[in-house]
Amino acid sequence: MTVTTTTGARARELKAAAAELVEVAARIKAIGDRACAALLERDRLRSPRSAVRLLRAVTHPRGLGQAMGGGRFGAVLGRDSLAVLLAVTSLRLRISAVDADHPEVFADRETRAFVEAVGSDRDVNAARILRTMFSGRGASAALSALAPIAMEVMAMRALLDENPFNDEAGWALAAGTLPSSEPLLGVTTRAVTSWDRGDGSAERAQHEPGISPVGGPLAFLGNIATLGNDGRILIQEIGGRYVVHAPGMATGRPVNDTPQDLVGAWRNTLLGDSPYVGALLKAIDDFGVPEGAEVALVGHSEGGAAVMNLAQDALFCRRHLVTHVLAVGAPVDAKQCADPATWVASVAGKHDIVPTLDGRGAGSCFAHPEGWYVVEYADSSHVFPQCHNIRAYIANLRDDLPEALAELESRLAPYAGAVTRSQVYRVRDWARPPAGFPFLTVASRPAATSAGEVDLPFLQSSARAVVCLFAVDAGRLGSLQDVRLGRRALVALTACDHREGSAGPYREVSLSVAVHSPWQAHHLEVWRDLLAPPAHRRAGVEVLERALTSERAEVAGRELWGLPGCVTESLSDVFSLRGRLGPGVPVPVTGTVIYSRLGGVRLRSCLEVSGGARLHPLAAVRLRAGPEPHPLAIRLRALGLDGATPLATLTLPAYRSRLSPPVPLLVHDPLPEGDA
Amino acid sequence: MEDSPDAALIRDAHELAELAVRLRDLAGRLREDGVAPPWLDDVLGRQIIRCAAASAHLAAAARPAPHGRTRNAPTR
Repeated sequence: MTVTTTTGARARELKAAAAELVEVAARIKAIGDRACAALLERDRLRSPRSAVRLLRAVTHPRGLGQAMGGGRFGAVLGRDSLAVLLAVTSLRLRISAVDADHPEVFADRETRAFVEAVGSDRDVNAARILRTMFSGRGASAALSALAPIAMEVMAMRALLDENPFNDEAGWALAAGTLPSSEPLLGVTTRAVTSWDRGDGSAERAQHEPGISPVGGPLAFLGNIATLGNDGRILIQEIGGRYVVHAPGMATGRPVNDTPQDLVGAWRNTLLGDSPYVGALLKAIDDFGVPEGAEVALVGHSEGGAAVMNLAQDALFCRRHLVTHVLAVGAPVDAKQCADPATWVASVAGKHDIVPTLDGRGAGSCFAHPEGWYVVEYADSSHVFPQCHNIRAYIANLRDDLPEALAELESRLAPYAGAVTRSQVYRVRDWARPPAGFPFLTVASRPAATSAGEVDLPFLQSSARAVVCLFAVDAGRLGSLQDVRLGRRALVALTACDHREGSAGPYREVSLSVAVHSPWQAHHLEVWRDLLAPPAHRRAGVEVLERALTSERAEVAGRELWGLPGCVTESLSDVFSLRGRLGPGVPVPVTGTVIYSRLGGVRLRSCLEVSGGARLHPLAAVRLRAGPEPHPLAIRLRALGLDGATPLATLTLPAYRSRLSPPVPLLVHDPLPEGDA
Repeated sequence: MEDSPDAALIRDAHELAELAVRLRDLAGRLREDGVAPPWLDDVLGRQIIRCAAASAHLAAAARPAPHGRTRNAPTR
């Protein structure tokens, strides 16, 4: 492996000439702009002959060419702007400088042909060569071949093509300033980064086992490698100093819910504020970094740009003393620290395309800010994206760049001690609301049971259910205030799969009967009650029997609400529902009221449900009581429901529920406990 | 005192002429140092000529004064 870090004398002179050329080009562009503006002056308009002479001057094909806006509107007329052509010449000189230092780039015949085609404005030819490169050697090898000159090529295309919207980006890349749009189509940075919105949030996460217990540049970069790109950052305290670790973007979807995504990388590269910076600030605040404390910021790829954005935040730098910034494989060259005393180190491979995304690649002719320690090297095993990997940078620093590593170790010596505190944070674009917000965001209190405490109200954050309604002979139910359809009572069999909730995951099947208000039977109002929210209902249900797979849930229901129930290992031993549901019609379901008895006291609880429900009018299902002598199976047989077909079948494929604490009712209870 | 539009044009014409000279010097320096790529002389040479021509075009576009002198042009 060969690693070169120096820039030769020829390349230096070519870059200096390129910088001078683009400055001349910019001045000629400004002259053209002024001349065009003069065309519209009142004096000029009064003298048509003068106006015609000036129009000819700004559009003359052997003079300024098409000077209007410095763009390519005139290309339609075959007139090239002199300013644009000079800027392109500057870019070609920059490419020649790369050639001088890295002849291996242009040893590749297709790369050379591609650059020549772009420089001479032969679009079709350039596109054909590019397609051949991508199909012949694959995207990685093609990108690696073009990486050292990618920015120059893109800038040339932006300046020479017929699209006027990307001219600004072309000029910015040529002049070494941050473009406000992307150079291919001219889509503005604001438009692209509008996908990357949020204040940034940081939540404490579990400690990662591979985190180094000591400080040092390689240890910090190793920590970033350990964290990976799944939306986590790390803060460490080393002898009263603090180190913030910021990994780069994740591969995959360009937009995800963490700041470590493609649009986030774009935003951090070209703009100063970002959700990533917001998340870093919140993590630093949560970690308790005191005011005036010394802080070192270490970042890779997008993380490097994000920590530089933090370092150029004047407010942050007034609160904390940012002593060091170490950015690896990061596009940070166009950024400036708010505190001039901050020592900045940038390590970038010349075949890594990411550090060039701010427009300053291997061919850049613009000096880094004063005092920066910049390591730019070409690794002979250059293949993108592998060369961008943090582990590749660690290997290069450790094995191939001993002088650079020694300098980094020397500068970061104050942070080389033992880590006294370490905290991993999960960062997101937006702070996440609590689980189940807003439906499940309610005040809760613990209630003691013989199987441990449970929180009241009793919540289910993820569940699904099927509800079958039957009409049974009311005489078999005893003396309940049941809702009657003639001589028959309405009974519901509810089978629930509680996947997440107050009592953990469990399954439950319950048999309940619709009942009137304990005070008075409202035979007509009971149907109107169905449309009201549970809190407003008089009618409800009374649970006759339950079978559950969780002892904790069974105990909580029995001891707190007085609900009957038995624990069983498998609900299939208790009952089965077979058949087809058929099509479903959405229906509103808000919950029900549960009446129960505990210690001779009548209780009322509201079960509120959030989630869609479907009524299956053509369902053809049949209920079977299980063979086991479970109380519920016995009750099903006793009510004549074994083999019954429901009147109606409802499904709730995904719902959340909250069962309120029971409220004692001061009514004369006609039935002793357990007689239901 | 506010510049007349023609004075600004003439000033820009002078600046273009200076830039043409600067470009010529730059090309010469690169050639002498032996670092100029083979294509540079041809390309930059054409652009220097255009720069000088543009200077002349702008100067000519400035409105002539009634007495044969360019109005508001610096007097010699």
